Amino acid sequence: MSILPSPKQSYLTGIRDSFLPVLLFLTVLGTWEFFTWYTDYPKSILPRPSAIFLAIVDNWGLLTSHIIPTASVALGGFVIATLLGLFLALLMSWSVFAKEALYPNIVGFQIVPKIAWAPLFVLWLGIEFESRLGFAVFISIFPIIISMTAGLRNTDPSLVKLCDSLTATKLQTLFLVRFPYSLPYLISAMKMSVTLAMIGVIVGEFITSREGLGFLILVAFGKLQTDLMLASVLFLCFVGLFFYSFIAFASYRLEVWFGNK
Amino acid sequence: MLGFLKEKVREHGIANSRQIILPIAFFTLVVLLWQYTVDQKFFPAVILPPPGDVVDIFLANRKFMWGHAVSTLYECFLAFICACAIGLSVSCIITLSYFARRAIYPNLIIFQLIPTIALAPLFILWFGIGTEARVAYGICLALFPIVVSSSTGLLNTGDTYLKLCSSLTAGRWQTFKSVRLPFALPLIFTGLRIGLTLTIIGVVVGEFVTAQSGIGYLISFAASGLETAISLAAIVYLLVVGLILFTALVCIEFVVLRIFSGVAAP
Repeated sequence: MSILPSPKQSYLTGIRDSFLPVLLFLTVLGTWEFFTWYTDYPKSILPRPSAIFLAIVDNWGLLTSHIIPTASVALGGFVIATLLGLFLALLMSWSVFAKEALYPNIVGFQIVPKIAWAPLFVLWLGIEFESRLGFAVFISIFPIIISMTAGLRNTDPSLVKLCDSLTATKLQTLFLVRFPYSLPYLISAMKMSVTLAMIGVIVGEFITSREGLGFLILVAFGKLQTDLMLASVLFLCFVGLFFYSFIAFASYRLEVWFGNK
Repeated sequence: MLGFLKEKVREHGIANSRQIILPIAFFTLVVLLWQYTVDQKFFPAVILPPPGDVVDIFLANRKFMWGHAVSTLYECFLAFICACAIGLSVSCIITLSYFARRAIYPNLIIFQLIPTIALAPLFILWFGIGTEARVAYGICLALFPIVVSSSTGLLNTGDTYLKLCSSLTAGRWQTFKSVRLPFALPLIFTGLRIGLTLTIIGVVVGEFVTAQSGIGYLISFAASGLETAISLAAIVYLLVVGLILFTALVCIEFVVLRIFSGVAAP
């Protein structure tokens, strides 16, 4: 962590520093377990951590079968949003006309809380996966457009001047200079956008769905099986973590490929 | 402030009228296209109501919809204030205590990965279907970005400034108050802006799930009754709520930045 200022690091503080967060985590978990066991707290309100673990073991097949619909729709939405957003950002930095016409509208549109459109997507695209896919694309495309447009605009002016004096065409400058230099913007936007795609799919599943982890959470909620609810949330964490680390890896490869690293 | 804005506008040079006319022209084109598709009956009115209907409903049901909007506004405001208070105090503790930082910070980063949106039903289970559930859920969603970005800001003060402080024998609290905090303010406000967006999301999703009152309830209720025009009009009201909250936050940011560092908001 570069964020943490490092005082004199001895061997011992090194060990202490890596154990402290784990210790805190285990303490909270232990207190939770002890408290719920000691007071015999209603299982439907706050199940014990061990009960959540048992729920995962018991419902392993159910949970894993619901991962696929959620993860595939989220991934699909994210990929479509990235490609479409990239296309729009490139279009807007290629043509001043397109940018002046589109950009203020996009920024203005972004102010509307996008989550509010979820029921309308169900109304427009039906209750199958299309509505969730559409909604995921809709909510995850904005960070890509906005941050890529900023990235493509903020290229080092001296580089653009160099391209101009070497008589590079506008397209050449765009794809060979502006695009590689805006990769960091794209990567941070992709990280934001994959989280938003997950949110979109889960909210869509809350509204109407017959499959997916969001649906499973609602079903477990209806049956007051709070342990299964928390188990599904945990599985969602794993899906999110997987996507996030995949993007981190892909971004590293991309940077190597474009020679930024 | 008005003079400052004028100056800003001149600086950025909205010199040619094209930059104003083109977006408006594009917007008008989209609305005209919308009206055209409605006239040609490509889609049933249930799917795509004419834009005129949306405006009519927006104006005709002012009182009724504004009541729901006020309920959403109130809940968002309450949740955001609480999230700010909790989030900023946690990040102050993280900054001031080395021990707390080592113990809490990595856990925060990991907990950020939990898709908090999935916890909505759990909050109903814990807090019932009233205002409390939605406010608590809004706080839960907004808390992490506020804590993470404000503690990042507070911890990343330039090394040279910190060294200067310690050579001038400034205490930890003095350093915090007069060096770390002013330097972190832009990042803190970035976190607060993200937090505000998430608070609104939290409250609206809470209203989707609990269905009692508020704009979110109105949207999902109208959509399930195939009243698309009402849903769209309600979304416009939600936009108004969001704009009110954002304008307030930006004004506060402007004033605070002026007071603390004499540097105007970028």
